[in-house]
This record gives sequence, structure tokens and C-alpha cells, in this order.
Amino acid sequence: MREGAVPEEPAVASDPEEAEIVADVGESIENHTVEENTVSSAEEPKEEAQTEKIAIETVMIDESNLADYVGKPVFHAEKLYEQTPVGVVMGLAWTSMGGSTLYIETTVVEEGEGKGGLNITGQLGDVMKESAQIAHTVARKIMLEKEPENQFFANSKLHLHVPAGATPKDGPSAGCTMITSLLSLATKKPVRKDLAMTGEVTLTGRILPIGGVSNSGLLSLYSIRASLFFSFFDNVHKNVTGERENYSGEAESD
Amino acid sequence: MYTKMLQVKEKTIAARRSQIKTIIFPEANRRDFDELAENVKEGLNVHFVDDYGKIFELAFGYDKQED
Repeated sequence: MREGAVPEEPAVASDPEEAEIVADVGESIENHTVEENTVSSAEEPKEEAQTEKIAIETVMIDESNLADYVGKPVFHAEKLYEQTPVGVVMGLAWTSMGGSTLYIETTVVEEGEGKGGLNITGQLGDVMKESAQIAHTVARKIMLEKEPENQFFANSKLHLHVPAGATPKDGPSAGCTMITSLLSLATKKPVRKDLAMTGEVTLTGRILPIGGVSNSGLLSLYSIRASLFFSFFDNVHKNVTGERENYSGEAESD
Repeated sequence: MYTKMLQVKEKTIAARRSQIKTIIFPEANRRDFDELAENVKEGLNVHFVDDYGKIFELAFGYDKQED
């Protein structure tokens, strides 16, 4: 019985200590708020200062608890690979949400005499599908120049995919990325770390600029917006000048 | 011209977000890139190319440069 009583005593004794600590914390917060009040009351009315006193609570926000305050991240890290493997190259895309990175992945489906070919997946539009065909031709031509004895493209059935599969993509500017991806597979060598590229490639390997006339839809949107703005401005101008005329007319009659 | 600059800008920002160090742009977009703000451009190794041969060197020629 006595043994049981021993642990009780410090437990009882610790309660006021804890209470004191809690009180200390309370005091320090109050002191803090009082200091804040003296500063803020000089600028703001006392009523607001009193509500502030209740509201103030010291909060440390860092990476671990950031999600508790602002919610889970809306956009996830786009980096699928830390170091891109053979056949994978990062490209740069342009979407309605702004810029974005994407990966072009290629892999060998099967090898055999005269089996050369290319499968394409990833919700690609017509322009991007053609771009992949061009890339296949250009990559084959470059390989012929660099290593004439290499029969990789002639004898390998390839598959090119652009993740994420559910996002529709189109445009010609992934051309150079596709060629690099195919050549990476042919040479069995990954590309330089932390590299991204963009640009349309012609059949002879020339690089065309990005953001040319392809975005005519966007351009027409801007022109509509501009004409709306000017017609609005014109109306405002008429109203303002009209009111002025009225006002001056009244002033004259008085 | 406007969409050119916008695309170069947005793509550069996207590359920065993915911790990309080296970017390859078409030579014809050089002036669009030059007009970007300094805080977008800084710390990036940007190459402008007009022929695929240069991309090949940049993408696969890293051994030669290190030696």
C-alpha cells in the first residue's frame, strides 16, 4: 500500500508545477499581446486592439505543417525522373495553365530484320503525331551519318509515349525532344542531367522557333479583347463628354 | 511576337520549377529570351540552336566536356 502511495505524491506535487508552467506560458503570451497592443493601439482604435489580443497566437509554419494551413498542394512535382534513363528526355510544353515540363519516352518493342517502325501513344494531336514521324526519320538520318553500320532504326520496332496519357497534347515544338529521345535509345546513352529542350524540327534537321503563328486562336482572342476594350472606352468617353455638356447646359440656364 | 515571348517565358519558368539547369531553345527565340526579367534568366545555362547537330552535341557530348 505504501509503495502505491509513493508515486501518487509526486503526481500530486507535479500538478501545481504544471499549472505554474501553463500560467507562465499564459503570462508570456499576455505580455506579448500587451506589447503588441501598445504598438497597435497607437495606430488603431482600442476595440480592434482588444479583439486582436484574443486572436494573436504564435504559430510556426514550416514545410511539415504548411499543408494544415493552406491545404494540400494543388500542383504536384512534375519531376518524374531524378536522372532520366535511356530513351527519356524532358521537353517544355505550353498549356492553358502556362508552361509545363513533359517527358518523351521511347522504348524498343521488338527487334528483328526489317521490323523498324514506330508506335505513338499519349493523346497526341495530328501535328504532334506528324512531328513524331518526322523525328523518327530525322533520327534515322542522323544515326546513318554518325554510325553508318548501326542498323538500330531499320531493325527495331519502337514505341514513343508522352505522359500523362489522359492529357491531350498537340503542337510541333516537341520535335527536337522526340529526336533526342530516339537517339538516346539508339546510342543506349542517357542525356545530360537536368536538360530540357523545345523547338520544332524540319525534315532536314533545322530548328524552327516556338510560339509562331500556330497560336492563332489565342491571337484572335487578344484582338477581340482589344476591340471590346476600345468600344467600352469609346462609350465611357461619350458618356463623360455628354454629361459634361448637360451639366454645362444646366449651369448656363441657371 | 507576343505569343513567342509568352511561350519562352512560361517554358523557362516551368523549367526552373523542375530544377532544370540547361535549356535548349531555337536560335530564332534568342531575342524573346533576352527580353525576360533577370530573375527568370539567372542561374540557367541556355543554348540557342538552329540545327539539330548542336542539340546532339549538347545532349550526348557531356563526356567530352568533362574529360
